[in-house]
This record gives sequence, C-alpha cells and structure tokens, in this order.
Amino acid sequence: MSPWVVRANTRGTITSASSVGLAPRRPSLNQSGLVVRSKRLCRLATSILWQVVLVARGYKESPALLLVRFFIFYDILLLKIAHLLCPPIPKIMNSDILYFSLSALINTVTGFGLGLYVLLISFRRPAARNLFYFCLSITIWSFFYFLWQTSSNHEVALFWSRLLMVGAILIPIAFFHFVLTYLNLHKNNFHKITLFIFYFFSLLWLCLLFTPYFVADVVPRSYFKYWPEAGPFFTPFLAFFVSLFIYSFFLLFKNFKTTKGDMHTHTALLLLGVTIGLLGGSTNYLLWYNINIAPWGNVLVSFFIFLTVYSIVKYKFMDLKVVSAELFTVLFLIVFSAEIFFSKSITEMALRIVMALFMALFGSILIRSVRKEVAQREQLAQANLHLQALNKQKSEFLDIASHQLRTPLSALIGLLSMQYDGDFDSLSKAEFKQQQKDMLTSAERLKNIVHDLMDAMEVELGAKLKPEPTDIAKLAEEAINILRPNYEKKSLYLKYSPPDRSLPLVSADPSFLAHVFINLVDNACNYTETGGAEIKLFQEKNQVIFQITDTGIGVTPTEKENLFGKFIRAKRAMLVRPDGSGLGLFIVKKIVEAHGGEVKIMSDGENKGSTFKIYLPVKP
Amino acid sequence: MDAQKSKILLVEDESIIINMYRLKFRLAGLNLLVSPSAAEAVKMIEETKPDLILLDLQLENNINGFDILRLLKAQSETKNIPVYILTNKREHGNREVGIKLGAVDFLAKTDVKPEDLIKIVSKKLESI
Repeated sequence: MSPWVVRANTRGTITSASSVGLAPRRPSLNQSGLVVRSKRLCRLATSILWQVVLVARGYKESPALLLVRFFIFYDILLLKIAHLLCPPIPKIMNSDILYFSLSALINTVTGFGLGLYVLLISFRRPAARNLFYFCLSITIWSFFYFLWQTSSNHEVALFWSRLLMVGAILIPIAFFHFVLTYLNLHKNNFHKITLFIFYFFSLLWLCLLFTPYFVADVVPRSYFKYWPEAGPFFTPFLAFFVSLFIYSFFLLFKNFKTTKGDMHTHTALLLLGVTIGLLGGSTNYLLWYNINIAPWGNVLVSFFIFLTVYSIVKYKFMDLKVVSAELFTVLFLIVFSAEIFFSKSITEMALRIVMALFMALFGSILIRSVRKEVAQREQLAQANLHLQALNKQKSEFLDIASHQLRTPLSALIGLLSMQYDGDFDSLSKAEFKQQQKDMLTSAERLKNIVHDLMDAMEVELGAKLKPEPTDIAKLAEEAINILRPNYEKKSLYLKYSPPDRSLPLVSADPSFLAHVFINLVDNACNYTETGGAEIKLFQEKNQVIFQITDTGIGVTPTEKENLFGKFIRAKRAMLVRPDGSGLGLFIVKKIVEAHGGEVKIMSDGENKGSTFKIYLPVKP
Repeated sequence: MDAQKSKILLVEDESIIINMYRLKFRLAGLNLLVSPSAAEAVKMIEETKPDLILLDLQLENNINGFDILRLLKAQSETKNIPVYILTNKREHGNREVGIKLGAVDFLAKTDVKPEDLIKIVSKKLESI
C-alpha cells in the first residue's frame, strides 16, 4: 500500500509516512506519475504555444485574452510551488476531490495573476491598489485552501484550514474598501468610520484564528476527510462576512441606478461578479454547519475576480456586446482548458487541446468582428454629432451673416428712398453731406462684409493652403508698402524694424499670409487717430514672429475675450470705423492657425494702444 | 392722441440706422427718443413712459428684443404700450413669436421704407 494513502474516518494519528518508518519518496515513473508529468508537459506546451499565437496576432490590447494567458502561465508556476510544498496528490483521490483542490488552484492563479495585472497597469489609482489587496486576500485563501485539500493528516489539515481563514477574514473588508475607493466614497466621513470599525472587527477575528473559538477542529464531512468545524465565534464572523458583502452590493446597486455610460457598465459587471462570487463562494460554508452540500461553487470565485478586474481595467470597451463576446469566449476557453486536466488518456488530452485552440481562434475572430462593428457604430455616431454641430454652426453663421448684410442694406435703401421722396431738399449742405456719407459708408460696409464673408467661408470650409518656403520679411514689407499711403493720409507714422539677420523660411501659403499682414496693418491704421504703428520681425527659437504695436483705441479685457469671433465688433470700434465687417480678425486667426501658428493680442486697455503678435513655425 | 405730441422710443444699437430714423422722424415732426441698449431702454421706458416703442430684436451683447418685450408685457405700467418689432431678423418663426408675445406688428427694416414707417406710427398713435 502506498505510504500516502490516508485512512478514512481517522483523526490522523499517523501524521506522516516518516512516522511509520517509511521515507517519503517521489513517485517513480508509474502510471499516475506518467499521467501527471504528461499533463504538466501538455500544459506547458499549451501555454507556450498560446503565448506565441497571441503575440503573433498582436492580442496585447485585449485584456480578456491576456487574462487567459496569465491564467495558463501562472497555473504552471504555482503548480511548481505547490509541488515543492506538498507531496503529489494521493492515488486514491477521486475526481471530485481533485475538482475542489484544482478549483482552489484556479482561484489562486486567477487571484494572484489578475491582481498583479491590475497593480502593474493602474498602480496610481487607489481603487486599483485596493483591488490588488482584495485579489491578494483571495489568493491567500485559495492557496491555503489547496494545501488544506491536499493535506495528509489531521494536524496539517487543521493548520492549513486555520491559515486559509486569514484570507477569508480579509476578503470582505478588502472588497468593501475597494468598493468605497471605486465609488469615490472613501473620503466621506461616515464611510471612513464604518471602514475603521470593520477593520477593527477583522483584526478581532484574526486574533481568534489559532484558537478553538474560531475553527474548533477538522472532521470528516461529505467527501472530505478534514473539514473545519465551526467554533463559537465563527457564526458572528460569517454574519460579518455576509453583511459586508450585502452592504457593498447595496452601494454598487445605488451607483448602478444613478449612473450612465461606462460607469454604469462597469458597475453592472461588478454587481454580476459580486452575485456570482458570493453565491459560489458561500457553498464553502454549508458543510461547516453539517449541511451536506459540498462547495461546488468554489471555482465561481475566479469569475468574481475576473469580472471585478475587468470592470476596473481602463480600456475602450465601448459596448456590452464587446464585453459579452469576450466573456463568452473566455468562459468557453476556461471550460475547454479545464477539461484538458480531466482527460483520461493522452489522445483525449491532445484532442481537447486542439479544441481549446480552435475555440481560442474562433473566439478571437468573433471578438474582433464585434469590436469592429461597435467601433464603426461609434465612429458613425461621432460623425453624426460632428455633422449636427457643423449644421448648427452653419445656421448660426447664416443667421448672423444675413443680419449683418441686411443692416447696411436697410440703411442704404432707407436713405436713398428718403432722398427720392425729397426729404433731403430741406437739409443744409452739411446735413446733406452727412447723409451722403452715411450712404457711402453703408455701401462700403456691405462690400466689406461680402468680401470678408467669402474669405471667411473659404477659410472655414478648409480651403486648401498651398504651402511653400516663404520669406516672411518680404510679405510684411509688401503689406507695409501697400498701406503706407493710408497712414500718410491720416498723418500717422509707420515704422518698420527689419530683422537683425535674415529670417529662416516659413512653410506658408503666401497669398493667405499676405491677407493676414494687410489686415493687421490696415486695422492699426483704421483704429488709430494719433501717433502711428510700429512693426517688428524677429525669430525666437523655432518661430518667426510678426509684431505690430499701435497707439490706437486699445482693447479692454471684456473686448479681448471675443475679439477673434465672427461679426464681433466693439462699440468703440464701430464708432471709429462703422464700415467694418467684424470678420477681419476671425479670418486672421483661422489663417494663422491653419499654418500651425498662433495669434495673440496685448493691450493695457481703452485708448492705450494694442499689440498683435503672429507666431509662425519655422520650416523644418 | 396727437402724433406730434407723442413720445416714440426707438430701441436700436446700429448708429447708421439711428441716424437715419432720427432725421426722418425729425423731418416728420415726431418726437423720437433713442436707446442703443436694452438696459438703457428699460430705464428710459420707466422714466419717460413713451406712447409707442419701436423695438429691434438684435441688440448689443447679443440681447434678444423678445426678452424686453416679455418684460414690458409682464408689467402693468407698460403692458399697454404698443410695441412694433423693427428688425432685419426676418427668419421664419420670429414674426409669430413677436405677435404671440403681444407686439402690434413685425416690420422688416429692408422692406419698410422710412416714409411708410412714419405713416404706420402716426396712424397707430392717432388711434390710441
């Protein structure tokens, strides 16, 4: 008889094989050892092959598939650790017992792998750190659960069963703390106090851990040779455990009802996870009270962790369709992969591996197509919103433009009809001249608005610039030469400081940029009554700067806010120049920005002049 | 009411339009008061109690003339003052809104010549 066979219904007086004078030995290459080694080899091969497939297909962006990869990889790693700590699984262990120990191993792998994953990608977020602690507490519970399940004697089983309760005590408080940070309630005073109280109680349970008041003993129950028996403080602990989870559920549900969009979906996943995990994990506590139901729901704890991590991982999962497709694929993949371990022969194992791989392949195709569909739908929705915004902009533009055109038109028609009706016959020469001036101004304003509207439409519709290496100094000098007569007519000075050294060329459309310089130099002339304007050109780092400073009407802080808007004209500007269109600076800004540049205005206020600066990037 | 003795308030922010109507009303012998802004208009209405108001819709700082109309019709002292909307905002719906809010009529500046406006205003004042 193998020294590792454990007699049923004993209290384990024989604690180990060494106590009966038999040295523990590694299994020889008998049937069970061959199967175990083959399983490990296949698992390792699957893991490596799967990772190669994932890398080749570039699935790094899919957390769902990444999680599967971690699951398989860490399974191998922890199996090796488990192998060092405990003897091989006894021969007589039937598949049911194997399920409970393996489910614990799966929970360990999932808990640790996913927790580490979340920590690595979102370390700075408090919710992510608390989620890691939650996953760590599940890892502790599951790992010692596995060791307890594979214990060979009473003392060892009692030890591991008490140790696993460390995890069980930490799980509810860690989850509650995570939920508080996730919902941003951790700074709330009430929740701070409740958290403190719950941590205090958790510490209390931990203190009772290695006493008979918590885990009294381990006794045979159902399939198990060593199942924990509840001490007097276990039931209050269980009430505490359930209450914390119910309260966490309540907070999540409240958030679910009041939120929309991504947060709503994330919370839905968490709620689903809590429900599955609680229902599955709670099957562990029935046997404590001699209710003859084994913990079949144990492995659902992995789904709980998976859904919790999935809900917090920050990536673009736009739709529940994508989430469902990924969950569906991962679920089937886990089931197919798990089935490999239950294969009765090498052939069956190989077939199951092939099926799992096919499942992975088709699942990935499904996920890709669903993602593509959702992404296209989102793009259409964005495009639709953009079109609606453009349509609204167009309507507003037309609305304002038509009003701006009609105003000088109505003045022109009104004054001409008055002249026609003979109203001007009784006017003095000066008054008549004023009316003529008003008519001319209206006509000029109409002309300017039409010209500027055409330019503004050209710019707004994204007229194609034809950039070429442009000498800014040359363009600026041309603008100055064109407008110098206007300055002389008003007895204003126009100074120009050429650059100290030749400026680098700028990639620009000369015709559009010339419009900018002419507009600014013309504005400086129009809005200055005495003094004049000074123009400077210079280079600063990778930019060429055109600067014009005038001694004109200046700009107040209020006027500055909307100066570059469409048809915006300060009242003072309208008095000085009634025929302005209100589009000039708007066009200047659009053209400069289309060249990758920037325009700024500085002024000390009313009647204190202003400085306009154009920054243009140097051609690389 | 004698139109020559009435007070007519023009609420308009465009100086060129103001100058034109000022001249026309002066030549017609009518007393035209002008307010270039909404805030000043409300103050002037309280102080001078005009007999008729000509109200533009697009005022400075993007204030809508309909808001002033609502305010006038909501107060017992001003609700009976006849208000004509005189505007270039001829877009669909503005006329109906104006009439619904209690304006006497909706006049487009480009369509109503100054002479015609004088006739409309005089006729209304004499009917009061």
